[in-house]
Amino acid sequence: MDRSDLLAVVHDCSEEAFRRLYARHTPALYAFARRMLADRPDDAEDVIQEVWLRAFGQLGSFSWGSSLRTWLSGIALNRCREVWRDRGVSLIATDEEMPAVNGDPHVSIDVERGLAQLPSGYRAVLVLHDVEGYTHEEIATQLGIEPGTSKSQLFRARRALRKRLHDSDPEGTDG
Amino acid sequence: MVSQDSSEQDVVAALRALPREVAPPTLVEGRVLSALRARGLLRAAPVLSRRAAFMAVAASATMAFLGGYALRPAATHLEPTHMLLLVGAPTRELEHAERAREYGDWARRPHPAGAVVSGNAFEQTSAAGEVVGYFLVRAASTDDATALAKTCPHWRHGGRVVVRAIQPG
Repeated sequence: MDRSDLLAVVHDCSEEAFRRLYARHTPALYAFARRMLADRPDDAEDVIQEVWLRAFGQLGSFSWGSSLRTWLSGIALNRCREVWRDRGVSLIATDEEMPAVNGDPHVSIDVERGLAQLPSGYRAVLVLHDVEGYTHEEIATQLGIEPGTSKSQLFRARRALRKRLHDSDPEGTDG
Repeated sequence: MVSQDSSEQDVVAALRALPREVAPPTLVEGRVLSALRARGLLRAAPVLSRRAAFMAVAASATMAFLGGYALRPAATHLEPTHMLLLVGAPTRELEHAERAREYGDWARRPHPAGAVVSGNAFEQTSAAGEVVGYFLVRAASTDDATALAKTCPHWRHGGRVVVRAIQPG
């Protein structure tokens, strides 16, 4: 299905075929980008636009050995990394970057909001590993870090999110 | 939500249960399409079959005879974001069929700033400065809709085009 639409887009500039590709893949790409950039969700819309523009520019390098979704997700991740780089965000996060809890700490919050309150480095490994199913080796390759760093970041990120979701200990001794 | 006695496994389970797809705002698609069209990577108008093209011309001629201009834009499946109000009766003397074709061609043509969704003329009026017709368009912003409006052939016929944003439903 992707192949025939992609060929129609490349060879005939078919907007109809592009709309089908867009409808098929964009919701997953948007969910991914919105979580990765959860602290500034408006940036996710720019990521979507960039993904499709870059995809058109790089169609010659697309190999059918991988799925179109995987290929597009890789472009989306690269764009997210650029956003972080432009904002001076380090992907090696620490607990010191955690913002103070706002509101009643005894009230649990939903997972999306909890993710949004994590440092970008924590959020990246959580989304890639626990939501998207990447391995530590894949995360290391994609983010330019060591696999061991990915593992340690994931451990800290899960702990931080758990604490965020139901922080009932104002002294911060949970963990 | 996660209960307070949940363990790390609960957090992982909650993450894995998140929806894998989230629909982006509808305007994002319009922005992407506009950007791709502006680069000449997409053609906005579908290719009409000979029969469809004949029917479109026939419909244009019929509407022109009635004093309006029939439009057969390419993007009728899009939700419009702006209305272009055509103000003032055209002063340039043209056969109605020719004017209808000119407006229709403009509506069907790919535009970098947006897409024409539909349009039509109002009942014929004679008072100067009245709104004589409209186009519904889809654009990423009012600036884009205004840029699109500036290319409307109504200007060349002595009229002017007023842009109004449609309140999202």
